[in-house]
Amino acid sequence: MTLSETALPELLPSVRALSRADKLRLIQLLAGDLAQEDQMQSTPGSVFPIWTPLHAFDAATVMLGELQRSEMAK
Amino acid sequence: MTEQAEQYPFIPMDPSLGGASLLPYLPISLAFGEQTLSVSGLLDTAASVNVLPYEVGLQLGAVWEEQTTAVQLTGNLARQEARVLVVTGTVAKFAPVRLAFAWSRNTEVPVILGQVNFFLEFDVCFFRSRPLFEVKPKQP
Repeated sequence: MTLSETALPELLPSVRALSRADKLRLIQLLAGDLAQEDQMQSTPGSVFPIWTPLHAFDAATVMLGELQRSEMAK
Repeated sequence: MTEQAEQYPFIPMDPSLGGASLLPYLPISLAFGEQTLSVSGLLDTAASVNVLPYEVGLQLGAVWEEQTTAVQLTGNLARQEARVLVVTGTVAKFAPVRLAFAWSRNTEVPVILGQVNFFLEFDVCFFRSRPLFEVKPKQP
């Protein structure tokens, strides 16, 4: 039996006894917690684009040639 | 005469992450024909070339069909076409220089300042611990 399984039945009477405003506040707090947990869980598996053109030496050679041509054309 | 280097701060990309998200973005002015545009370029020493996103090229007045020299980029940019666009770049008070960009069809990529030819024109010193960087023109 997990902690949540034992804790929830004990907590429910107290939660139900809360005022309407406090219940809404509790919902907001829990929704915020869940959103934060989802964000943390999604980070390791997320794909982040890395734009660096690493080892693009062919492109670099072409661009150096274009620079030389534009210098000569000036 | 040796020019005094200009100093710039690293820029936080995500304020909630503070110092963990700092990147060296350099304010630079690009000119092509009659058009001039102020942009922030990411100083990327691992990038073989400078990269210009498609929208920025258009804002500079460049016409895709008129740029006929194609280049093959690598990594996430490999899937999209890129063509060479030579523009004039000005950093701070320094003299303008010719900068060749791989003008990519990609619209999400930042302006990247890479080895060819930004780092051939400017000497850059990174002080990540402070966190700032300095830029000055290459020595003649």
